Amino acid sequence: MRIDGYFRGSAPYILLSIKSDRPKIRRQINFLVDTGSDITGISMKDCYAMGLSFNNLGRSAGSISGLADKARRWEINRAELRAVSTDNKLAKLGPTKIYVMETTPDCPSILGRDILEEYGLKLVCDIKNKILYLED
Amino acid sequence: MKEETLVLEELKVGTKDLEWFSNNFFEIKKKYPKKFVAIKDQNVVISASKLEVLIKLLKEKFGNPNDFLIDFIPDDKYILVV
Repeated sequence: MRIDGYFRGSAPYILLSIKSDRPKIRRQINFLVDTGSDITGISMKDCYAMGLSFNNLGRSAGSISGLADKARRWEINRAELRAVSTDNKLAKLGPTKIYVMETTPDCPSILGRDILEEYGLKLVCDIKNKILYLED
Repeated sequence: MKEETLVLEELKVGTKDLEWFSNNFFEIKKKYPKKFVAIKDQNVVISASKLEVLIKLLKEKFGNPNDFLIDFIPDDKYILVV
């Protein structure tokens, strides 16, 4: 299975469809591939697009640490991630745990190392030649 | 239509939008610096300086913001560290 990604400038992005029953969400999300991130998380702008308010998520599961302040995070325990593979089939990852992150509005959703490790995905990222894909 | 077939078709359409966004990123960056944009069918449908305003406009004009790719377009001074 191979899933192609795209560059926004030089930043690597992968399109995934996310689905969960608790909270009930479904959306296509453009994830920034970030091997520096421990976790995979949905950012504020994608939450708002789904009508998901931080106030309705209950008690946070902890915090995320970045360069500056800490921010709250919430767990989505059984999220299904799906992508279109290069042979035009539906690639399924999950159910798996991802997070909702209390980010600033400009921050992208992030595909972290957790998913790459859990599903044994190899990341090929060649910025100069604009080649980006995940492969199992 | 089966849910999986529907998701696959949606992803194919979304991939086209993302490919278009990627190929036209520098033009979009010139046109919409420091704006939030909503993209669908290989077009910037709406832009706004604030995310809340963009979501409100999408709701008013189209009903469901969830149908759109939403992104922040940086200017040349913007640096993202995550």
